[in-house]
Amino acid sequence: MDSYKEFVSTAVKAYKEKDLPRSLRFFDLAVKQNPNNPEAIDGQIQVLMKLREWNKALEAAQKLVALDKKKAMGYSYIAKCYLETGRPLKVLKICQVAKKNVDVTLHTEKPMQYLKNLQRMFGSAQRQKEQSNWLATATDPTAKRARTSLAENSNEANKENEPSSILGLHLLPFELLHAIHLQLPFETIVRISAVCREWRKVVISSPTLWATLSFDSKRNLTNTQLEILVTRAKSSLTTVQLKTCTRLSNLAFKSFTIQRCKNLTHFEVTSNLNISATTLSNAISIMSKSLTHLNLFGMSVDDPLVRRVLNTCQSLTSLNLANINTISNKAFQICELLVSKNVMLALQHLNITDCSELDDATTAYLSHACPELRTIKMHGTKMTIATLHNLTHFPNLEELELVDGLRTGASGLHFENAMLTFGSAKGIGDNLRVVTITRYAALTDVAMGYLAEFCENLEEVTLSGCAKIGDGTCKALAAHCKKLRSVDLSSCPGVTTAALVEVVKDLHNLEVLNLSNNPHVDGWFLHKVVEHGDELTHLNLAGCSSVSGAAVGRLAQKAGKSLEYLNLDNCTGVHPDTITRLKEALPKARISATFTVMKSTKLRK
Amino acid sequence: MSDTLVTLTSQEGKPEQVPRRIAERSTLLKNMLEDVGESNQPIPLPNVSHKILKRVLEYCIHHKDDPQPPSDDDKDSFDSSRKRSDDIDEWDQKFIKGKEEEHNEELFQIILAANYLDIKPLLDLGCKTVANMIKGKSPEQIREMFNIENDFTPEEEDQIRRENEWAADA
Repeated sequence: MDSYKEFVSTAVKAYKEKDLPRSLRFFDLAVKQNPNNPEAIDGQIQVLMKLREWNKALEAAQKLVALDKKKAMGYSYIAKCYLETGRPLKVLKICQVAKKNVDVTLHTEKPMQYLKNLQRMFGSAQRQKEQSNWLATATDPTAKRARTSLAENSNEANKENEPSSILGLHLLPFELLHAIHLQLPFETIVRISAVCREWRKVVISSPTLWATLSFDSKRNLTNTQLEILVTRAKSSLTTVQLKTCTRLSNLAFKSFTIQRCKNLTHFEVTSNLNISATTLSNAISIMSKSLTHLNLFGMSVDDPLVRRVLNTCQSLTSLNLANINTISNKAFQICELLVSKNVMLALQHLNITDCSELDDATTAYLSHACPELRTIKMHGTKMTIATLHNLTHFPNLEELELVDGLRTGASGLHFENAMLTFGSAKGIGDNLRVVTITRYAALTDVAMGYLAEFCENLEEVTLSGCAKIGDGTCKALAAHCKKLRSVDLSSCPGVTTAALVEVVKDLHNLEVLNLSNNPHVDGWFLHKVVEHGDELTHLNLAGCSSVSGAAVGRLAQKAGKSLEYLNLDNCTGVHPDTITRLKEALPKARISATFTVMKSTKLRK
Repeated sequence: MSDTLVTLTSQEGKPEQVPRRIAERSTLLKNMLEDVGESNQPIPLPNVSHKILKRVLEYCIHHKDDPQPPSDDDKDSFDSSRKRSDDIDEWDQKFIKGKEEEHNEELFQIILAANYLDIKPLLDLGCKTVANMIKGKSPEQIREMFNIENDFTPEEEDQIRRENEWAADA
C-alpha cells in the first residue's frame, strides 16, 4: 500500500515536471499495485491523453467506468478518446449511456466539469457526424443508403436524449444558460443564485457575471456578503460602486487584495468614514495599473493616499475627491516631481469641491501636470484670481465649475482682468462648453462679457446666485454664444426682462431656461417666450412673483416645441385654476406648482 | 450561384428547400456548403424538428440582407461583455413570441436549434428573450415559470438568504 502511494506521488511529480513517459511508468506501477483505485487510473488516462495514446487511454477509461458507473469522469474520458479518433457516433452513444447511469447528485465541483465536457463533446460529435456523413454522401452517391440508416440512428439517439415534451430552461446546455445570464442585471443574477442548485452552480462559477458590483445606499451590506461577491468575481472584477454602505469596515476591503482584483477600472467608495486611508491605499495599490475612474467622495483620505494615486494610477482619467477636509495642498505637490520626470497625468475630470483645505496652490501644482484636463469642479472660497490664471494651462478644458467664491476682499477689476486672461487663453475659448459659477460675489457683467466674447462655443451657463450679474451678461451671452442650450440665471435679481428678451430671441438653440426668484419676469416677457422660444422645453419660474396667470396660460400655445417641464412653485400671482387648465393643455409636461407660503396645493404629474 | 436551392432534411426526414444564401445564415451550413461546393444532396438535420426548422428559416428569410456577423468558432465570444437585453427590434420580438400557448417550449427549441446551426443573431435573440422573462422576477417566480424544483436543503436556503440579505427581495 505504501509503495502504491509512493508510485502515485512520483508519477504526479513527473507529470508536473512534464516528464510524461516517467509519469506514465509510475502510474502503470501504481495501477498494477492497486488495480481498483480510481485515482491512479485517472492519472494514467490523463497522461495517455497528453501523449495522444487514444486507444490505450480508452481502454483505461473503460476500466474506470467499470469501477463506478455513477461517476461522470470516465465517460468524459471515453467520449474524448472517441472524439479524437473520429468516431462521433460512439461519442453520442457514450453520452447516452452516461446520461442513463451517472448520478447527478454525486456531482459537485470538479465532476460537474466532466458533465459539462460531455455536453460539449456531444455537440461537437453531432457536428462532426453531420459533416462527415454528408460529405461522404455528397461525394459518393452510392453511400446514400448507409447515410439514411445513420441518420435514423441518430434520430433515435436524439429522442432518447432530449425528451422535448418536458424541455425546460434548466436543460439548456451550460454555455447557453451562461449566454442568457450575461444579458441580466446584477441583481437578477443574485436572485438566480437562489433558484436551484444547478442554476446556482452555473452563476457562481462564472466570474464575468459578477464583474460589476454596484451598491447604492445598501446600509445593511456586510463585510462577509461583499467578500463572497468579490470572491466570485475574482480578477474579472471591473467595477465596484459602494455608495453610503456604512456597515462595511476595513475588513471588507481585504478581499480586493486577496482576490488580486487587478483589472478594476471603476472604483467608487463614497461617504463611509469607517474605512481608513490605509485600507483604501492598500486596495488601490492592487488596481493601480487598470484604474480609470476613482471616486472617494466624503471618505477619510489623507495626503499620502492622494500622492500615491497621482503617482501610480497612470490610466486614471476621472478623480473625485469632493467633500474631503483631510487633504491639503501638499498632496498635489507630487505633480512637480512628475513634471520634472516628464510624466504627465492622464487625468481628464477632477472634482475637488468642498475640500476646505485646498487653495490656489493646488491648481498651481496641477496646472503643469494635466494637459488632458477637461473638467474641473471646485469651491471658490479659497480659489482666488491666481486659480483663474492657473486654469489657462488647461487648453482642453470643457467644463468649469466654481462654487461660492470670493465673498470678501476681492477687487472687481483684478477679477475682470483675470477672466479676460482666462477666456483668451489658448484653447479655452474654443473648447469651453459648460460654465458653472454660482454664488460668486466678484462676478460682474464685465467679467462675464469677456468670457462670452471669447468662448463662443458655450452650451451651458449657470450663474445662479451671482448678485452682481445684470443685463450686460445677458446681452453678451445673446450676442456671442449662439450655441447655448441651457441658461441658468436663477436668483440673479440684477437681470431684467429688457435683456432677457434678447436671450430668448437671439439664442435659437435654447432648450433650458431657469429664471427662478427673478422679480422682474412678467407677463410681457412670457409673451415673448411664447413668440420666440421655439426650442425651449424646460422653463423654471419658481418664485417669480410678478408672473401672472393669464401669461402663464398662454405658454401652452408656445411656438415650436411644447414645454416638457415647467416650474411655477411659489408663483403667487398664478391661480390654481390656471395650472389645472395648463395641465390639461400640456398633458405630457411635468408641471410643478407647490406653494409653501400660501395654502399649499400640489399639482404634479 | 447563391440562388441555387439547398435541401435540408428535418428530424422527421421531411425535406425543405431553401435558396443557398438563406441557408448560409447558418454558419454550420455555410461551412459545410463551402467545403463541398456544388451538390444537390439533401443535408440531414437530425437535431431539428420540421416545425422548428420552418420557424428558423422564417427568421433567416427575414434577415437575409443583414450583414453576416463575424464568424468566430470559439464560444468565448459569449463572455465578451454583458449586453443589453432591451434593444430587440419589433419584427424579432413578434417572431420570437410565436404562439402564446407553446411559447416557452418553442423558444427553447429555437435556442437549441440556433446554437446547433450556429446562427448567432437568432441565438442572441433567444437568449435576450429568456433574459427578459427572468428579469425582475423573484426566485420563486422563476421556479414557477420554468417549472424548476427548489432542491436546496433548509440549511442551504438559510445560508443563501443570509448571503443575499442586502438585496431585501432576493
